[in-house]
Amino acid sequence: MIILVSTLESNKGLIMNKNEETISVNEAKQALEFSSKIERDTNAVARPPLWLSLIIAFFYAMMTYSWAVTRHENLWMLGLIISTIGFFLAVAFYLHSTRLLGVKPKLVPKSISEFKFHLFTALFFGAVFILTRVFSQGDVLWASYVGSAMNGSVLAYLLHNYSACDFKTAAETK
Amino acid sequence: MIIAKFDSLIHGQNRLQICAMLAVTAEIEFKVLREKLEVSDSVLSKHLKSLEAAHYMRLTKRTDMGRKRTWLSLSMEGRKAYNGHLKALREIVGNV
Repeated sequence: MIILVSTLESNKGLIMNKNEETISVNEAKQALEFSSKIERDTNAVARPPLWLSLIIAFFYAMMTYSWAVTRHENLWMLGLIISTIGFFLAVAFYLHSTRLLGVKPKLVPKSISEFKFHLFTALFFGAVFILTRVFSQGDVLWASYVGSAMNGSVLAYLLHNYSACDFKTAAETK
Repeated sequence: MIIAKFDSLIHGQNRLQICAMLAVTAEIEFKVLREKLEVSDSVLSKHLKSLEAAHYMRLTKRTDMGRKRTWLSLSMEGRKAYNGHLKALREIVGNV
């Protein structure tokens, strides 16, 4: 348990004592800023470059659009197949390049906040993917465009800003 | 739930940097960590041994494209300890 042993000491603030370790408020602040900077720098190395994020997002948007507009009488199923292959190739390229760089990104959740992040994003993408097709089949003409643009832009944003797959970490390291 | 606990083992600058880097990734290669920390192999090994002894870190050696590579990752205990340490630091700062 952390025990505060000292009170305000002019500008130095509080002093914390833990066993034999004594750290000041300034030192704690510096340590927090330092760890935050390291996390931010590591995120920048581990996340896909912007062009690759955009390619992955484009293929995902195309998958959403193709699936929404696929009918028996058209050839959009071919678009779905091509975009799915392109999406997985782009993701495989990203994972292979990070492996070569020596920094592997997290793919499975390692904490509750990461699990929540994965769950919410999966629900969002799944819901948009399904609803886009449902509305499109219901003759809502703009649904396929809006759904695919939404999925693509959100995926690009998440890949670039939340590469650690944790809204807590991402918010603190922005 | 994260329990705030100051950890003197993590608080050292190099070890804090190691934990911060491993916390946001799945695995990092030994060579990359050494370059980022700008320390020698022996110094890094010493830090890693102390973290490994506390079960905060896992070390895996794998042969990749004919080259031996050492991968480091934070264990569940290490992740908890690092998050708890950050929370304790935030409590100190928040108490001003």
